[in-house]
Amino acid sequence: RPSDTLTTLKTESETLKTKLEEERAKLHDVELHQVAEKIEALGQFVMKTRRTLKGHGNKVLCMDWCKDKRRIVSSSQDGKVIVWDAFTTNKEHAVTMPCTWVMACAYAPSGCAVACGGLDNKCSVYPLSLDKNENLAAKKKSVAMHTNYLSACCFTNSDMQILTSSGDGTCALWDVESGQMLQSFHGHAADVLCLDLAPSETGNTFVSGGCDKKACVWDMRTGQCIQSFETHESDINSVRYYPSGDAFASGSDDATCRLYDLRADREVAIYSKESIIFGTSSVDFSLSGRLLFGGYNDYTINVWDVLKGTRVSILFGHENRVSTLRVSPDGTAFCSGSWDHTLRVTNRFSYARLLVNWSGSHSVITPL
Amino acid sequence: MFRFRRALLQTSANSLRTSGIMSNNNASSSSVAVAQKAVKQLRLEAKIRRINVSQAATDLKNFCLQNAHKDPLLVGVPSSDNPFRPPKSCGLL
Repeated sequence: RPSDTLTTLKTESETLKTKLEEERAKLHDVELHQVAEKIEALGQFVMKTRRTLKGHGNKVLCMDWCKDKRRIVSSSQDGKVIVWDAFTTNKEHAVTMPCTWVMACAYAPSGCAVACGGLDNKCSVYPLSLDKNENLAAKKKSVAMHTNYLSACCFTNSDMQILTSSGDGTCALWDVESGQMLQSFHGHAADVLCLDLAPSETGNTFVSGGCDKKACVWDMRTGQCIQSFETHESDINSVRYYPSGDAFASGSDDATCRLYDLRADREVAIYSKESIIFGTSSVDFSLSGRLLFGGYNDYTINVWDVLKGTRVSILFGHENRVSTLRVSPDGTAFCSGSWDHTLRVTNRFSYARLLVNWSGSHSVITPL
Repeated sequence: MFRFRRALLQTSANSLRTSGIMSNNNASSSSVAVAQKAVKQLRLEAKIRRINVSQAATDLKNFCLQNAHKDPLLVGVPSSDNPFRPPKSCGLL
């Protein structure tokens, strides 16, 4: 409109923002934890690390599970990408990237390839060969090209498309075979640090978080930002959909995790404590959505009761920042990666059915 | 990583300026374009249909409760079903 001036537009912008907040506030009739008051509180949680994966020579930056629930891909500051069998802790494949700080890695749905990237500003796909002697780097395919670092990547529902986020402030959808950009997503005002794809039943959307403290929900077909949320006080390092697809959680440098409901279009819970002052690097839900696991820069993992808003457990073990955390596809365990160069697979401590360990003439029940 | 990102933020801010996405220093015409985009986006977001938090929260709660029994990290699994149980070692005397 030719009569639009910058001032008029800015005023309209402010008015619309206020109106948006008013509309959201009208529907804010109750808090999530109030709705959850009558539910039984979760008992004491004891979790145990079952496997420690050692082999990276520097900070672990990212990891992802294979759909087979046992294989894991991880990437490191030293440029190495390793595929592990988490049951046996064996390393099955290793690739050396031509760059350091491989900040993103992902397993293909078929289990036959991995994608990774970082300071090279690209996302590359490596088909995994059954032949251990084959040089994986030879079959490397460059798919995505950004103008700044790659912060996150994930395959969509097939091996054919990859979604990426970048320090250049954009996200993009790519065709793996041709390397063509299918859609780009503009709207963040600074580096995009993370993304997560909606569960397939919920349709073609994904959520991203960035250094602009905003989380945005995007329509993958149109490139349109559908909803945005700006309540964090610092960078959003991690976003993850609630298993039903109706909400997502975020973890931020402001030392909080938050839950945003998509249908209520607002933040519905904050997971924080005065004693937690270090940033959250990564978050993920347990299968039912009742638990939220957060990896923190103070080396700990906090486990939150999503409904009641309380912390149910704090896990120690890593000797440096927890940088990445994912629950396994069948929800039996979660894996955390750290600046201490290791990955740890942890799950719920449970007593064995009566296990008898003969020690001389004694019988001892041994918890595993 | 925090300091690393801050340093890169400066670089990315520069690259965004050159590509015209952030245009604080550029001609007023692109500032108007950016403002128009922002207004258009806000109008779109204002239009979406919303439900009460009470309704949304109840649905979240119900989903949790309905799926609780099959959540291995929530209810725990007997050791025999735990794929990550310690590998058994046999000692033959």
